[in-house]
Amino acid sequence: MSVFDTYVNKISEYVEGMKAKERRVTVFNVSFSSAQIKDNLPFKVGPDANPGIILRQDTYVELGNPEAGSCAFILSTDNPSLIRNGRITLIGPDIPESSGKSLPFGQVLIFGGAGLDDKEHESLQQSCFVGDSIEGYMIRSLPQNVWSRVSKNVAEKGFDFECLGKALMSVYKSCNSKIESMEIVFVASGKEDVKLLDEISAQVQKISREIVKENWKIKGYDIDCEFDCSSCADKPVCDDIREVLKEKRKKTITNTKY
Amino acid sequence: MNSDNKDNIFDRLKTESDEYTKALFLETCIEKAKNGEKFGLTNEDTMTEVHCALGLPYWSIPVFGGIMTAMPQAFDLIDKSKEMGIGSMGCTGVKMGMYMLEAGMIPKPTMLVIGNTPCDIVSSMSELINNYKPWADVPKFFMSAPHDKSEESMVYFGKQIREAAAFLEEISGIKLDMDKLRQISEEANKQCQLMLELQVLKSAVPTPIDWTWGRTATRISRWGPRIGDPIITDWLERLVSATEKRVKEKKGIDGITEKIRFMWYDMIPTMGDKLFTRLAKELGAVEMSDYYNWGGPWTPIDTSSEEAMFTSFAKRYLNDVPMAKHAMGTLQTFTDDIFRIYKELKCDAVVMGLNIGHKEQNAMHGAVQDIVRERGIPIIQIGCDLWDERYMSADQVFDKIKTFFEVSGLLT
Repeated sequence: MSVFDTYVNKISEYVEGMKAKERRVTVFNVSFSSAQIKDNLPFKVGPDANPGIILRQDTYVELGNPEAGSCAFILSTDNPSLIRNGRITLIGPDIPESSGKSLPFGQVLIFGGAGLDDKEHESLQQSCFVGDSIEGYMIRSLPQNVWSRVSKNVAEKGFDFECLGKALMSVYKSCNSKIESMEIVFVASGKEDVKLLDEISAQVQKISREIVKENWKIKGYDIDCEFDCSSCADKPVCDDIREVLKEKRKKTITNTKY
Repeated sequence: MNSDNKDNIFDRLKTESDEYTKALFLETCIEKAKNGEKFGLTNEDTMTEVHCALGLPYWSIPVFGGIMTAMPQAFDLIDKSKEMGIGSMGCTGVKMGMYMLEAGMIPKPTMLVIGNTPCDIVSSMSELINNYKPWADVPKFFMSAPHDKSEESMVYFGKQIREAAAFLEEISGIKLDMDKLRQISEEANKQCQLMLELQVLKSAVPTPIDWTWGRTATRISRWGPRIGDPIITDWLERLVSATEKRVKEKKGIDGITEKIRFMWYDMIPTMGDKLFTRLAKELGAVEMSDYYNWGGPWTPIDTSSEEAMFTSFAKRYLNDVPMAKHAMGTLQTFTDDIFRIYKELKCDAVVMGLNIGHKEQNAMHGAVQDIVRERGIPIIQIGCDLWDERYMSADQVFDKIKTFFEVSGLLT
């Protein structure tokens, strides 16, 4: 069982909540196989597929601009039954109908795989750099956010959220062999909806930080030393040491003869 | 400098920014004092939008110090600051500010906001200010920033900024107009967005403009009295538009054949003009990112309520200003930023200045080097004094970087 299983369920609840609020929810079911996914896309996917940058005037739609609102995180589980493999859920409008807009953007990538234990979570976060891997899609990965642009050129070729989902599946699948299944949720319906997702993200980030901390400890580094003794779990140990030193000093002073 | 034609936009932007930058200088502060006007001093920049909304002139003492290190009399003053007994391993820029204070070079302010960020020597400066007898009767407000980055800490620090704002209102007799603060914050959001846009443009290969533009943009849009001023937004917009044009035309920095892209992971040193210019001209090595050429992202100020605005100020300072973020952050934050910038700006190498004054980062350096190398990224740590070239000259730093590029196989 993964520490993120609860949050995988929370995402399902979130989607249901959005449906209850009568948000437009579109579901795409695709086959999660790297080769097939790539073959059907009307643009290139892979290293250096998008080597240049997309200027403002060449942008068809912008997603997750810091001003518009953005939230992005990943979840992983070793329980495949929690994942609806190949499902891409879109809440809100699709790309083709959003010409010239700057949409708020939420992105949740959910990975499944028997080998995806908690330690692998950090590697999943860091190993894949989507940056220039999708033609006509420029991405800036800000901490806990994704800010991206879709170019006019690929929009003309039919770039939509289904395509984006397939491309992301292809990129992640090719950079981590432990990923056996994948599900994606995109949110573009409004700032408030992205903010709600952000509340789940905050909890996930806390757990991710703890995992990272533990991984660093294995390497021999304490990355997050507490500065405040009163909140430190090791305070009793330090107090004992202080007492011992105090006693020792007393004895030294007592034994000192001038 | 990037020139498209004789009367080029970059020349005009430079002339204008030189004028705006004067607002940060000691001379402007002295002038204000001579006229008997009220003004504030600070050693933090946590509430720049508030100062601007109040229309209250204010200056930063560490910025005075940093700028002074580029003046002809700098070495003499640095030596005198050492004679004051301040630890020699403290940041020389801040030490210089401390000396300027003790030497009576800085006019007596009407009010002071002082604190503990981003590093220990700024805390020492606060102590010095607090005990400086000629300013004993100047009302002071002390800020205490948390090291923790939780939401609760941001709310806590936001409340402190609100209290500091109330202090400024009380002493200056100026009421803080929340609508004006909202308006300035929204304009500042646009400015930060344009800074981020500039960073995106810089990632083009070849990079279209040199490092001096990020420094200038940061100075005039994040420091001083013009934050949230539409004049600065217009300046940034024109800079971004002119840079976009260069990207479209695939133009790199004029006169430079770009061969190596490196990030300088620190403040720009006083010797930066000599060092970075020489690296670019002789080796084709262009400096892509530093604590000024940072590009954010800055937390957008949420103007939906007063509390949201002040919490956003806390986030913008503690999470987004790179030196505060790194000096008060964890090793993870430090390395995450290296990886992100290295990839996004398509860098070939990481050069860490390792300012002798950044003691709070010392414990991390060995680990950072190991972790970055583990990812196959070439990295060198210099260990210079960013503000005093006598510690390690621009030529010595150049040689170290050149040798590093050679042994890394980046320079053949």
